[in-house]
Amino acid sequence: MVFSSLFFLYLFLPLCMLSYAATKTIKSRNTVLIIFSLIFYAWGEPLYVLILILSAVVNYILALLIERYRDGTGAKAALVFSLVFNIGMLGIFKYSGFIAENINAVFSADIEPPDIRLPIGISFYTFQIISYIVDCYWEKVHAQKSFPKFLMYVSLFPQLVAGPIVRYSTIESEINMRRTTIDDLSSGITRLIFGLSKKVIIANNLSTIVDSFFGSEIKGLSVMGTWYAVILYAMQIYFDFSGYSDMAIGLGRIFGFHFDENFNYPFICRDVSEFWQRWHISLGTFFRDYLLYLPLFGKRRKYANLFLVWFCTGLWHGASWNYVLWGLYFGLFIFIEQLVGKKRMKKIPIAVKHVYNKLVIIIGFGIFYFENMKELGNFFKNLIGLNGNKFIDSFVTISLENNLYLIIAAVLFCFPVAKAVGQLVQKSRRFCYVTGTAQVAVNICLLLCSSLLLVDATNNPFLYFRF
Amino acid sequence: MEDKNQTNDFNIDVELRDKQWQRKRRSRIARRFFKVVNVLMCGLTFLSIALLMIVMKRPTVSEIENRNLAKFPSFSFSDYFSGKYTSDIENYYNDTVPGRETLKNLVATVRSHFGKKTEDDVKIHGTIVAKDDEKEEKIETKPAVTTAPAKESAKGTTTGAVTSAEKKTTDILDNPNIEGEISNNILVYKNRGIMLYGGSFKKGQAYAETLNRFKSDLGKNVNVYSLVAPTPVSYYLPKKYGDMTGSEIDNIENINEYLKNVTPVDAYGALKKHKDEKIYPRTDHHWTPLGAYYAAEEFAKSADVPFAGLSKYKKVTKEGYVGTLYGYSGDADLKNNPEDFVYYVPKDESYTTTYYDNDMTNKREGKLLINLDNVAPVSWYLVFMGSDDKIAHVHTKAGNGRKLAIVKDSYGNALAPYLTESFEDIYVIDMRYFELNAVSYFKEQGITDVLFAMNTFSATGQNSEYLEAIRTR
Repeated sequence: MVFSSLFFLYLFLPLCMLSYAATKTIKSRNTVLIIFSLIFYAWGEPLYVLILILSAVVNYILALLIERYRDGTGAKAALVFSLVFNIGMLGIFKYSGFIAENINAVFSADIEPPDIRLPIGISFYTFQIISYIVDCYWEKVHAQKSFPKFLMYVSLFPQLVAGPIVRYSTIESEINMRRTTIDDLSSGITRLIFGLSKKVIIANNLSTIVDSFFGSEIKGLSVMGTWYAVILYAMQIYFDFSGYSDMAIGLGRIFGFHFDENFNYPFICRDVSEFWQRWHISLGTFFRDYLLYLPLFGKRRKYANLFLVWFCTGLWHGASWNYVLWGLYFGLFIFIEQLVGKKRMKKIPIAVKHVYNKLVIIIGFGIFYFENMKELGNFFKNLIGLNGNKFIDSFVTISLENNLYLIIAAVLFCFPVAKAVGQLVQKSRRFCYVTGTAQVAVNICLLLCSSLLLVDATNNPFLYFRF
Repeated sequence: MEDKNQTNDFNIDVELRDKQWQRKRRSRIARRFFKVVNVLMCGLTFLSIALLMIVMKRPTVSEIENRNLAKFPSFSFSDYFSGKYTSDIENYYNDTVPGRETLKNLVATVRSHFGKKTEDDVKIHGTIVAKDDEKEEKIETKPAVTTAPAKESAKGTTTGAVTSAEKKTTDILDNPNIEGEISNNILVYKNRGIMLYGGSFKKGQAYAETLNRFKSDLGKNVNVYSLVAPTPVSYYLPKKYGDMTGSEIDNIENINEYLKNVTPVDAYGALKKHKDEKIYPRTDHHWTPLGAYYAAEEFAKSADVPFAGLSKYKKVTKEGYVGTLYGYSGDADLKNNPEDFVYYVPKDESYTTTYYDNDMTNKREGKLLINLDNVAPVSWYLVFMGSDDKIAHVHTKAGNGRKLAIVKDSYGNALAPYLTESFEDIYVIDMRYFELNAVSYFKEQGITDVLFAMNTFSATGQNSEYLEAIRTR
């Protein structure tokens, strides 16, 4: 089940919210959330839901052990066991096929790649659990004594399948006690609708354009066509991913949880390092806190760890070499930026920096798109016209005009334009009534518009079953 | 004096602070008020849509998409544990939204506001077709594809319709030529949908060589013809957009070059002479019955058989025709500008039509032109034979000893009615569905002429592979 579907918005969510509102005590509210979260997960993974529960049980016990045997080696043993267990689960379910393929390729072995389907959201909840266990070990948080509460943290449906990776410490107190104020409810709903619109109105339609260019062989595309499509693709991923995070954060607030922000207008960044401080923040901070400073490589650990982090970041996004390449590609630029140093980076004219980082980011999304290395090669050749392709053709000009308003809106909303306008009018109290009314009207319009577009989601013309 | 002043100042100060405080309070109350309104209004919207979705009647068929909508699944443990059961429920819920057709038209309208048309009224939809204009240097004799997969995918197209719910939209997008004769890369110019053409000289060559093999299998007493029908892209695409498409005439000529002892029928030239008439619908990917008539006329000339003029037909006009291209492009302009569907019924109905299943079983009498009263406008081209997945046999009073077999995609269906005075027997088979060996079938029926009739997309696409399949089966 995904948030951007009619089934979720108009069946699951109302049922969940009504049940939640009907209960009063924190215990019964937690129960409602656990039940609905498990239904939510089991809806897509009727079997793998057991793995989720197993992970929760194992790590619940291990955390208690860590706390109990704090002073001895017991804590360390529990930590190591937990890490092996969690990373092992991820390895088996996400990477076994990939590992087998690579062993076959390198040693020309003949291992049958195991037929294991990736459980939804395993990358996210595994990381949440790891952060919890390590924080317990580092005594940053107390181990959760109540299993239902811990299960709720792991399975909480707003962030279960697509993040953000919510730290236990962020919502520790809210698991035990929380209330939804009218402010939470209103902002949560608004955020949910905004996220939905980002996904359904902008990302989905950008994706249609991108697919029309990259959907079949890309060799014949013009230079401008390739650039046009990859720029739109960068924006598509931003709206898709950040829209989903917005929905998660909004849903969280509706139930009284306050998650951290996951995207902070990444495209306004001045250098590549800053981009990653603004893009998928919960993942970046996860690697920063738990991997970057681990003393793995002795003296040279600063840079070795950096590349390890980026290798992992890439691999985390998918079991394919292009993602690893994509991660290392960003690692390389961040490495260069660190070599140049903050002071010297500051001296570079801001315009140059913007051109540099946008180029790096946009081409990076090209690497992200093409899982097939041959197509990726063609993509690079296309960018500079090495395929003997034309500079520009009518596909680009027509497509640009046909989607002009959508693209303008997308570009605007990549930057904090709406936020700035909002703050400006909010300052002047006189507009309070106007903005208040406008907010409600915009919300309803966006909700109706998104829902309408979702009706088309199952569009599947079958015009030729007789012809 | 001083005292008095001070008190005054103090009073003014207090009043001012009071006012400020009151204003702040008012705005806080107002903000809170709007938060409540926001929650109520949005909550109400959510709940009312949720209720409507449960209470209102759900549709079962989509006319635009020409398919049955998803059905509520029946429970089984294996389906449940594979996740199919739950995802089918979800799919049912999302697919059968009450008022779906109306809402979809609204979607088209919303989408049309994402941008604007170009100055010269052009819009584009779908995945850009890959142009393949490489030519094979040496002549390849190996057939393109083996029999089994071709047959399997042919089946896929028929059964796919019934279980279409399981297929995702992307299936068609991933395989724009899934049905062989169409592409989803549609340019809309002045309310006319034009499918852009990729073409492939290699596949064209393979097509021609397959026809050559048919000819040598059938022997010199059987005439074999190739009619490759062009599509609107050849006649109606503005010149300045010429670089967006492959050239149909180049591909047709390429095919003709490779033909040996097979007679090419110049449909391209015949239609070109009439391009100012309605030889193609604006909203459908077929040709019009009139377009097919001109092509049939050209074929009759090539085959040297008599041909009946249009005066021998009764003209029937149906209004409100929006064809297949709307469903594929979702373009509001096509939906909002319906056209007339005009077809021609032979006045002399002395011929008989018999239909068979694709393996020549299940014989039944029928009409060559079916009754359109209960057919949705999008499918009015079905007037010819009603569908592709069967064999038609037309027996006429021509009495000239000529027996024709038409091997075709849906473009070929429209030819048969115009040839009832030209051949005494006409067999119409679709290479995508036919289940027997075509060569021995033709021999059994005593065929004297075999016409391969399909559009350029078919001939240079995967449909040519089906031809090899039915030859060697």
